[in-house]
Parts: sequence; structure tokens; C-alpha cells
Amino acid sequence: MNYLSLIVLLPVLSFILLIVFGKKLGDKSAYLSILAVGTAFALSVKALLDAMGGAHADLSFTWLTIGNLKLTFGLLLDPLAAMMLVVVTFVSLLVQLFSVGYMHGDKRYGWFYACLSMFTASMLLLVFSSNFVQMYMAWEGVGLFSYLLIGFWFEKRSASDAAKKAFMVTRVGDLGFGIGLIILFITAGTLDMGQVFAMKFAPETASLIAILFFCGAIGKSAQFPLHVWLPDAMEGPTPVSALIHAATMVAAGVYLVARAYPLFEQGPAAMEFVAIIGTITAFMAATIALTATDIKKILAYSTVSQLGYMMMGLGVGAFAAGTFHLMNHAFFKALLFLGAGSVIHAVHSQEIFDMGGLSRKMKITSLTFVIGGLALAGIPPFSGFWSKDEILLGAFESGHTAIFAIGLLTALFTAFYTFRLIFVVFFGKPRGHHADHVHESPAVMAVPLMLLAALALTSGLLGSPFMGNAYQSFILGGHGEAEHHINYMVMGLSIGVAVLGIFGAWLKYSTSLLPSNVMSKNNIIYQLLVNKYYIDEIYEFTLVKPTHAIARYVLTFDQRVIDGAVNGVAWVISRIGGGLKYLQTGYAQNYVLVMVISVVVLIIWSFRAIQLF
Amino acid sequence: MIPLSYYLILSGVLFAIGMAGVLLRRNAVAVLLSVEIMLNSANLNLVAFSRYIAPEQASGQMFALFVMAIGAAEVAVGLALILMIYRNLQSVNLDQFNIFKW
Amino acid sequence: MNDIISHVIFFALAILAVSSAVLVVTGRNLFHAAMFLGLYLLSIAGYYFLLKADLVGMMQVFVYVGGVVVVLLFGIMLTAQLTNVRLTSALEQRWVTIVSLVSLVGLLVFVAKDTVFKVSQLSPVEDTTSFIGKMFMTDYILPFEVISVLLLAALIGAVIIAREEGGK
Repeated sequence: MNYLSLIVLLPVLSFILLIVFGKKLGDKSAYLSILAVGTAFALSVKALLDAMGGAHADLSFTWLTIGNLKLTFGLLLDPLAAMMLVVVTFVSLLVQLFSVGYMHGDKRYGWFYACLSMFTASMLLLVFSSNFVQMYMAWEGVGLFSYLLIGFWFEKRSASDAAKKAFMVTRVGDLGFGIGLIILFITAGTLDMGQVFAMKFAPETASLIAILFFCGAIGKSAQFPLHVWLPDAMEGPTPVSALIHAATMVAAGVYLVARAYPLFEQGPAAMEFVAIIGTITAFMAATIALTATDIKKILAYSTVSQLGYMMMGLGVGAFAAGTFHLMNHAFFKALLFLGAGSVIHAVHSQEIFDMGGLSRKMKITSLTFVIGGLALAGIPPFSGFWSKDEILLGAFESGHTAIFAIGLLTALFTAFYTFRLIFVVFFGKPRGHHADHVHESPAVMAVPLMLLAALALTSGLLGSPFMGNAYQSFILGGHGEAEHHINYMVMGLSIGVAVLGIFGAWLKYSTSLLPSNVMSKNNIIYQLLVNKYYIDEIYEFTLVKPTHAIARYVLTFDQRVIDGAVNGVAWVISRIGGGLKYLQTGYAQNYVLVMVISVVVLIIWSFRAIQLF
Repeated sequence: MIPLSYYLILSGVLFAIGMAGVLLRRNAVAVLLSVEIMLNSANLNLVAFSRYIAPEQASGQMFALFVMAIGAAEVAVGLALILMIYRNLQSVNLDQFNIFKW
Repeated sequence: MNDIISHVIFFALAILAVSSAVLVVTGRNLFHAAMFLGLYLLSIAGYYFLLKADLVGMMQVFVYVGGVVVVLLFGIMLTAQLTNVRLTSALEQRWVTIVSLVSLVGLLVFVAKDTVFKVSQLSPVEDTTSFIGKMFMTDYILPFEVISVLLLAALIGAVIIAREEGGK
């Protein structure tokens, strides 16, 4: 099973080589990175096949022993990990291919690929972790490279600000994760996943640890109330947004919840908490997306919303559905982001009202984008439908009627904002300055789009109840029930709201049938949404401003008192030295005289010591 | 036999005379002459001790010879330095030579 | 040697040494000062013979009177300051010097006159030349070698320091 470690080590190797030789390689650095991640992808597929065959690898070695704490470093391969491996390596591969075209001519090309490689390695290590400490380390590694990539164009003030914001906001959640780890270690005495999951905890303890873990997930997966960093993170290059902030890293939080699911199941309160946070996030982000006008921001809020769906699914007990949505979402959201990247590459703007009628000039991009949009909106047989339906079904069947209702409403909004985007960007009249020289992107960018579109079209079928729920029985690994009967009522509702949303968007943005005062911009709700529920402003006033005020006082104290003391000592000494320097006359005879006087004084003093005087 | 203390007092007086020359003479070469006086007074001390305390070992005489060697070396280097100063300042007056000051 | 004779010699040499030393320190003419230094060195050599340190006395005459004084005369003539108008340094430290030196001598006299030395009754080395030669090659071999290196270094250093700039 040695090839498992290769999956992680290949991108690391690529990172090291690119760090050392990146400048020399220049444009060729992409091939090195792509070769590494491509091989890792092939090995991941082999791992997936092995996992299907029932292989359950857990290779580990002890790398640190502190007292009775043994920290191991291990690779855990189970169906969940295998699924994530394939998703991560595949999306990473396509994104790196896409970036060959998108990042062409950037002056830090080698560094870009180095970061992508190391990000992939961290993510794979996270997925592979067999104990929580290792996972935490990989978690931080992922955060670091996310920071570096968001701030990739750090010359731009907004990019470096966004990177800092992402890093600090996720750190708030990571703090919870860290505390959870400590409590888990105190109560369980081990951090090895296998051992932890085999234990029985009191419901309160399990809930506490699980909620603390979930805090980490809230930060990383951009759940309410820590979702504010993700839309800003769109300052990074678009392929980065696709890889990190849509498909893989933000899924790490969901993966953590899925990974620690045995722990969550023992704490009913934690499950409720996850479900409620997920629902709030899904609804809120979807409503904000209704009014956003930046193509990447719309997709970012859509990502937040879909992550909320996954959390909702996990929270209501639909484990398979939540992870299934994770996989499907990774494919279609990567597709949408890369499509957006292709559009931005052509139009040189991110404002959707600067675009229009692109379908005529960018056939491949618009076709694949529409496929992604259909998958996101939840139209069968596209992938999003099957998993979203499963989640809603899970909520319905577990008796969470309110969550189910909000989920349906969110699905309506999702369909609406997705097709608002599609109708405005790809159909209608051309707008903006660059409308004339819009062109289709090169093949190296188009091929990943097509591959992803194919997956967005088909990956859902794996988990379709009409296909025997193949995904569910795989991910549950044989144990646990996989027989979901088909609920046509839920399915019908789900399709109904999706179609309604698309129809609404068509009515509003593609025709002039509606009078313009419908959904006017001058009401409170619109203002609330366009300002993202004022959450950034609330943080600004409750956290940032007071912190700044305190910092200013501390700064004054530092400058006046501490620096004053230090400089004062230096000033006094320099004054003393300034006075004493006049003793240095430079005349050798003065110095000799001082020596003679000293000798006389010393002799007298020594005579006193032996009482000669 | 002459008491040892006579030699010690004599060498002390000679040492003080030499020291006065070092401290008060203006000309650098004169200072060098005074240093020779001091060295020889110390040498006299060494040889006197050798004669009175351990005459069969003659170790004081050995040291006197070493001091002579060092004195010769000192004169050579000292004169070279004085020539150097003279070449640069056209003077060997020590009260005009204070480039080591603050 | 008769005790009275040796006393007479001692005091005669003492008068010679002190007066020549004072003349060296106070002499207006540097050339004369160097000559008096030669006289002073010779009187010290006299003491060496009185103390039965024959070899040291010979070396004193050869090295100091024959070598160092000549070198100093070279120095005096090269710096051409023979007729020195002003004798003493312009630095105002005469009285401090006199007070400290007088107290130094006073202290030394105070110590020397009251201290009881363990005077050895053994007879001094007769053949000092061969004895010291053996000592140089046996017990004192290390200082001997070090002093030879020092002399070489001083020689080279003096040449380099005194050389005209520009390698002329």
C-alpha cells in the first residue's frame, strides 16, 4: 500500500522543486506540477478501486511520544477518504490545466504552481489523516496556502486585505477546533480516530467536543457567522477560487464533520446545532446571492449556501447525502468557477451587467456553464438534483419540517440567482466595452470545462435512487442502511421550486414581461440583502473598532512609556559618555601620569590591607 | 657587605628620575632616553636580588639579559615610530601629538 | 673584597649614576643627554661587576653603550631637534608628577629599609658565561626562543614603520 504515501508526497516533491527551480523553469513549471498531481490522481483512482474492493488501510507510525501521549502519523483509507481523494486530485488536476491558459504570462508563475501543489498536498494529507493532530496540522497547512493564494496578487491592496481577513476569520474557528482537540484528549486519552470512534462518550461531552470541532468547520467552510471571508477571498486568481474556495478547502469543514461523524452522532445537541447553522447559512447566503452583481461573488455566496446544505444534511442525519452533495458540488462548482474564469478572461470584468450575449461568442463556455447552472439549480438528471433531493428528503424524514421548508425555499432562490446570472451573462444583448473582442478561451482552458461538465451531468446518477443508490452503499461501507425509498412528493417539490426559480429569472431578466417596479431596488429587504445583512458592518463596530481603539492606547503606552524608558536610559548614558570623553586628552604623558598615580594609590592601599600603615 | 636595601633604594631613586623624564620631557627622543634609565634601574634591582637571595642560580641575571633584549627591541620600534611621527608632523613634541583624543 | 672598598665603590658609582641620570632628564642639549645616558649605563655596568654578574655587565657595555646609545644618537640627529628651546612638556603636570614620584620613592624606601631579606650565604657563580649559556639552552630555552622571535619581529616592524611611504 506504499502508493498511498506517494499520493501525498508527489505534490510535496513538486512544491520543493518549484520553490528551488521555479524561476528557472518559468512557463514550464506548470508541467511539473501537473505531472505530479496527475500521477496522484491516477493513484487516487487506484485507491478508490481498492476501497471499493473493501480494502481499509490504516498505516501509521509513531513520530512523537510525550508522556503517555503517542502521536502517530498515518494514512487512513476508507470509502469517505477515497472519495475525497479522487475529488481533490481530479479538481486540482483540471484547475492546474486550466491555469496554464489563465495564468499565462504572470510573473510569479512558478510560485503559483508551487502553492497549488502544496495546497493539494495539504488537502490530501487532511483527507488521509488517521488522527486528529495530523488532521489539524494539515488543516492549518491548507489555511496557510489558501492565504498565500488569495493574496497572490498582493500588490493589490484589496487582495492582501482579503487574504488577511480569510486567515484571521478562519483562525477564530480553528481556535474552537484546537480547544475541542484538547478536551477530546483529556476525556479520551487518545487522538487516534479509530480509537476515539470506538469509545462511548456521555452525550454532553460528545456534544461539547463535536460543537467545538464544528467551530473549526464553521470557519473553514464559511458557515454563518464566520462566512464573511469567503466572498472577499474571490480576490485571488479565479482558478484558485475554483479549487480552494469552491471545490476542496471549504469542503474541509464538511469533511471534518463527516470524518468525526461517530462523535457527532453521540451528541444529539451537536447534530441539531450543525443542522440549524447549516440551514441559516444556506438560506442567508442564497438570499445575498440574489442581489450580488459580481460574477465571482454570486458564485461565492452560492458556495456558502451549498456548504450550508451539506451541513444541513449531515446535521439531520443524512450522512451519505451530505457527503454526496460535497462530491457533486465540488464538480459543478469547480465547473462554474472555471467557466466564470473563462468569461472574466475574455471580458476583463467581473460585473455581470458588463456582460451579455456571450453565448454566441463563447459556445463551449456557455454550454458548460449552463450545465453547471442546471446542476446547481437542481434540475434532474444533473448531479446537484440528486444530492440536494437526498438532503431535503433526509430533513423531511427525520421530522425537521422547518428545516425542510427553509431548504425548499433556498432551492427556489438558488435556481433564481443561478439563472439570473446565466440569463444576464450569456443571453440578451452584448454590453460593456469589451463586447467586440470577446473570444473563446484556448483549448487548455476549454478541455477542463468539458470534463467537469460531463461529471456535473453524470456524477449525480451514482447516488440516484433509480440507479440503486450505488454511492450511498459505497460510502457507508456496507454497514448502515442504504435503502432509501423514493419519495415522489419531496422529489416533485424539489423539481417544482427549481423550475419556478428558473422561470422567475427568465421572466425578470430575459423578457420584458414584468413591469420594472416588480422587485424594485428601493425597499428595505433589497437594501438588507445588497449589504449582506450588514454582518461585515456589525463585525466592524463590535470587534474591529474596539480592537483598534485598544490597540491605539497600547501603542501610545508603548511609544511613550516603554520606548521612553528605553530611550531615556540610552540618553542618560550618552550624556555621561559625552561628559567623560574629555578625559581622553590624547596626550600619552597624561596617561602615563595616571598610571603612576594609580600605582602609588594601589601600593598605599595594599599596605593598608596588610596593616603596614 | 653592602646591604641589599642600598641597592633597592638606589634603583628606586633612579627609577623615579627616569619616570620624571618620561612625564615631563617634551621631546619624544628624550622620553625614550628616560625609558632606558627606568629599564636599567629595574635591571639593577634584578641583578642585586640575584646576588643576595639566590647567588648560585643566577636567575636574576637571566632576566636582566632578557630585559636588555626587550629594551633593544623597544628602542628600535620606538625610534621608528618617532621617525614616522616626525615625517608626518615635522615635530617630535609630545604636547603637540594628541591624535588619540576624543 | 674588602668591605670598606666596596662601600666606597658603591657610593661613588651611586653619585655617578644619579647625577648622570639627572643630567639626562634635565639636559637642554639632546646630544649631551645621550652622552650622559652612556655614562649612566656604564655606571650601572659597574654595579653589575660589583655584584659579580660579569656577563650581564659585559652585555650592558656592548649592547647598551655600544648599540642602543648609538641608535638613539641616530634618532636624535634624524629628527634634528638638537637645540631644544623649550625643555619641558607644555602639559601642566609638573607638580602632580613631583608629588606622586616623591611619594613613590618614599614608599619604596619605607619598604626597603625595614624589610628583612633572607640573604643567602652561598658563593655566587664563578664562571657566569658558561653557566648562563647552559641555562639559556636548558631551563630557559622557551623564553630564549620567544625573545629571539620578538627581536626579529621588532626588527622587521621597525623597518616597515620607518620606511618612506611609496616604497622609495
